[in-house]
Amino acid sequence: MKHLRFENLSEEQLKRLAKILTENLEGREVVILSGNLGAGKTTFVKGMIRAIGLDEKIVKSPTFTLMNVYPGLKTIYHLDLYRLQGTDFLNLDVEDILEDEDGIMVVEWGDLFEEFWPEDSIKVKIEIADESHRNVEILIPEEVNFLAEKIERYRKELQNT
Amino acid sequence: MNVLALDSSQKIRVGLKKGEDLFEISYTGEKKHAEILPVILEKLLDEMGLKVKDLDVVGVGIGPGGLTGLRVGIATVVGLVSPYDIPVAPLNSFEMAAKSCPIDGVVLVARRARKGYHYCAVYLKGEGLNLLKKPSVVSDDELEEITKEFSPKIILKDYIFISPAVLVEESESLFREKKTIHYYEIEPLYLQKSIAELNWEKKKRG
Repeated sequence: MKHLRFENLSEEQLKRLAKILTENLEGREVVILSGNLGAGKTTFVKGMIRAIGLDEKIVKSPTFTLMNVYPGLKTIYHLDLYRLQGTDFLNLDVEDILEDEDGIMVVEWGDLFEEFWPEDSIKVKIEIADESHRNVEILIPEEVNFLAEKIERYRKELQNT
Repeated sequence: MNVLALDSSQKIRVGLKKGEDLFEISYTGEKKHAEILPVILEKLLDEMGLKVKDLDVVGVGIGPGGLTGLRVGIATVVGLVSPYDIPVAPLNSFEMAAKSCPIDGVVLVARRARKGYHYCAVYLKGEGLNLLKKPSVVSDDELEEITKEFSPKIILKDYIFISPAVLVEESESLFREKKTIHYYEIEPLYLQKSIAELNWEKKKRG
């Protein structure tokens, strides 16, 4: 497991990071997003959407809908488990989507059901640094090591500016 | 005897028998189950000059299989038969796949689940079908072990053919053996649940 930490990202930099992460995914990956209310989990997904060629305006919080589906160059399944009661939705519906070979699943509050997710899930933790900046930590399992390089490159880019 | 039988655990398979006439329809394509299944059923019944209430038994595939496919299939059957409480023949989709295979011997049926896992069952196919290993969720490694252990003559994996005629035949025999159930008694074979449990146990072991 590789830990990559980003300090003091602006909103635009956070979205760019999300885009770089997503465009390097092959499909069938799970991204678990964690962070307090207002940390920028949904904003992160707006950045991800850029990688599948859709307008980020279509990204809405799935707190009440449970799951939004964005069919772009790849399909992104955007879940929010904040209000989930019972586990049948995970065991049946979400399990069924994990069988989708080309989809990317991104889960807000996925850490509430940690034991459910595949071991090679990618974890993204967002913290509030100040009003307009965020710290992000990305945990990349061995299985998707190729991703680490790409993201590392972006971190160097940020350091040089 | 008039029999309708369908399985939507993977592709859509529909069989309809009216006396000596037997129609078999399969659909493979991009369209969703919900877009196709009701259309096929309506046209087929129309073509055969049958009303739903003329059916003596309706067979339905209950899995293992894709969740959405099974939901559409089972819900469609519930809708069709509930006004007349027509007897329902629950059909195990893996058994139907094994029976649809023209060769006898040990048959292994497997279907991909989430990454690293498969749904799997093993049967001995001869006069009838004998269960050697009941449908369950196994890891990729376990599937390999099971394959070695049973050395199956036939392996049906991922793209699984189910013959609509076999669905009809099985529904008829369940009807004759009085093994049909009411529409409100249908219990799908959702193996999905046990994957989550297995994964959880595996994580606990570390």
